[in-house]
Amino acid sequence: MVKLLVVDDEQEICDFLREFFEEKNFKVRTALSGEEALRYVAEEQPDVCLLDIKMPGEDGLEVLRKIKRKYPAVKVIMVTALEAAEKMEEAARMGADNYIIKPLSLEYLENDVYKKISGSS
Amino acid sequence: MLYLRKRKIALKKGMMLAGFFAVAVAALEIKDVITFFLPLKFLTSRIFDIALVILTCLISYKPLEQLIHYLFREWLFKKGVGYQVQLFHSAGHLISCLDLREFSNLVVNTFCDLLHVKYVAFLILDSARKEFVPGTLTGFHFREIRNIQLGVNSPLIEYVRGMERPILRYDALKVLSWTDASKLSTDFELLRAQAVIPVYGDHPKRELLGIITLSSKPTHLAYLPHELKLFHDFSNKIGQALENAIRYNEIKFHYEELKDFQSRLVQVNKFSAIEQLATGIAHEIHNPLTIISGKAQMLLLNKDKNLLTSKAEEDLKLIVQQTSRAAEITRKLLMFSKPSPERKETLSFKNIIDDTFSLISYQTSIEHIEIIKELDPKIPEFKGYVEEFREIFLNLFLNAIQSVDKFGTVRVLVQYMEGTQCLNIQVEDSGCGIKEEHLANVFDPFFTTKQNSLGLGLFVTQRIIQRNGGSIHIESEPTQGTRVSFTLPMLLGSELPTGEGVLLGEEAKEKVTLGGEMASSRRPGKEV
Repeated sequence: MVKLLVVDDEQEICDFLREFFEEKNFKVRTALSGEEALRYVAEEQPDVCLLDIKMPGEDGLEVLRKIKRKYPAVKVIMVTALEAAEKMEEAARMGADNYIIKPLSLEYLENDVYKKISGSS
Repeated sequence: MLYLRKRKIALKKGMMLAGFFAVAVAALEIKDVITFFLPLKFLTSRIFDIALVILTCLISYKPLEQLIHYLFREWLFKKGVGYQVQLFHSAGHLISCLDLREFSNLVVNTFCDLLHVKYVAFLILDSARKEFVPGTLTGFHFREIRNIQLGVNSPLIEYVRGMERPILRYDALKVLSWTDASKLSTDFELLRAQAVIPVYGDHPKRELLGIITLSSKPTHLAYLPHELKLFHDFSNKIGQALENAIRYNEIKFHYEELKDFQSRLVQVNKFSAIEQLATGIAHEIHNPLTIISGKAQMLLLNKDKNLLTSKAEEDLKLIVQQTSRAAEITRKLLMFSKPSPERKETLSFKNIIDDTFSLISYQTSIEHIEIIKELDPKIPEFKGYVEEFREIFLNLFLNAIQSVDKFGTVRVLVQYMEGTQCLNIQVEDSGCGIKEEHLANVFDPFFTTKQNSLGLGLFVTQRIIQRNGGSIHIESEPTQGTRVSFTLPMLLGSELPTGEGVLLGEEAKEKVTLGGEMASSRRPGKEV
């Protein structure tokens, strides 16, 4: 079973993505903050992580940097409301695997997640 | 000058002769009366007559000369008073005049009225340009006017500087060597000047601030010393006033510049406020939109399981579509402040324009709108973001076709201006035009006169053009049409550092993907 971690400071977004991916037979965990996400990644490395950028506390880019440093195998897809060039570039430099802008196209997101998994296996 | 002096002397001599004649005749008449009463023989002799005439002439010489001199002086004095009154009067006006243009007009008018000379020029020092430039000119042909200006080191200015009194062309050229004289003569010729009156600023610097040049008088009589003296007094009186007017003009210029800068600053503040607002909105709104749209998409993806009716399916699709439209608004707002994340590339304006027209071809064809495209064949390579320019042209074309009626025309012109190395692009329509009171606001965000319009089109367009180092302006005549023209500098177009910041290596760049169907409808995402 594919392990997916959804990190977003909004509970509704987490729930919604969990619902969507659980239907697709993913094992989904959610985290509302960067710290929580890093704890989960340390415990049990997920295959894919959907990571919001703007969060209180540690922001998405910081979390991305930490994940990629320790667990480079974890695929990280940035999911954010902002289409900001400098953030995109920074994320790419830190090794983000994709950058998706809200509102999401679920079909695209799903395809992308599958692609990342097949790429790693 | 010499010519006049000769004439004056001849006149005086003539008057003296007439005076002698009158005195001699009178003496002879008196002698006749005396002879009548006292018939002495020697009185009737011719020799006595001659002696009498010589004697009376000798006696009356001094008083006659004095009389004639007095008459001359009286005549000149009267004329001098006329001059003096006019010049004094005009100097009085000038002292309180701060507007440089009005000042110079008044000076030139004074001399025109006073002397009826054909060519009068008032050149004023422009310290920034280090030149004496025309304040007011009269009598010159417009083709001459373009050439009338004197550098601070030009021969005439060099010569005049330091001269306390007005100078005459004749006097100036006479004392110089041939080569200097010919150089100086060119300047005199340029201004068609016979007399040049220097105007100095106030003490202590006493800088040469202006020169007044006069051509010859209609009578072709030379300027007389007492006239030059009056001009000199006049120039002394107005020197301080000219200095004030020049300073005032400079201050006014700087004030305008400052005001302009301030308004740009306000604009920048407005932009950054909107940017902050848009960023906040994007964050707050995109999350709920994600859920609304996501839930609808989930229902649609499992439509068989959910037993959706075709009506429900249509409605759900509409929900997805409309949420993406709402997201687009905040994106558009952000676009004005953020450069596009793509790389700059060489643009083909022909392709961009054709593509953009194809987006609106349905509307142009049903309304029979004529599209005229005039593209300069020799446009040099221009680098920019395709998306930005599509946005510009789409906004301008949409505005144009929305304002024209059926059978109207929309004309787009792209030309390269070699002189300024700029691209000049115009979008012109034969539509309803923009009301004058609206013209000042068309670039303001959220300003619109149309229904179903966000009022962001021109705002975003202006911002993109400014970001590319260009400028945009609009001319419009109600019921006649509108012309939007903008210029883009070639150099900036290819060298503006934004976007090409090369933070990303080629490899990393490959990884940046703009995900989502919605995003990819605007720009296709590259995939890893």
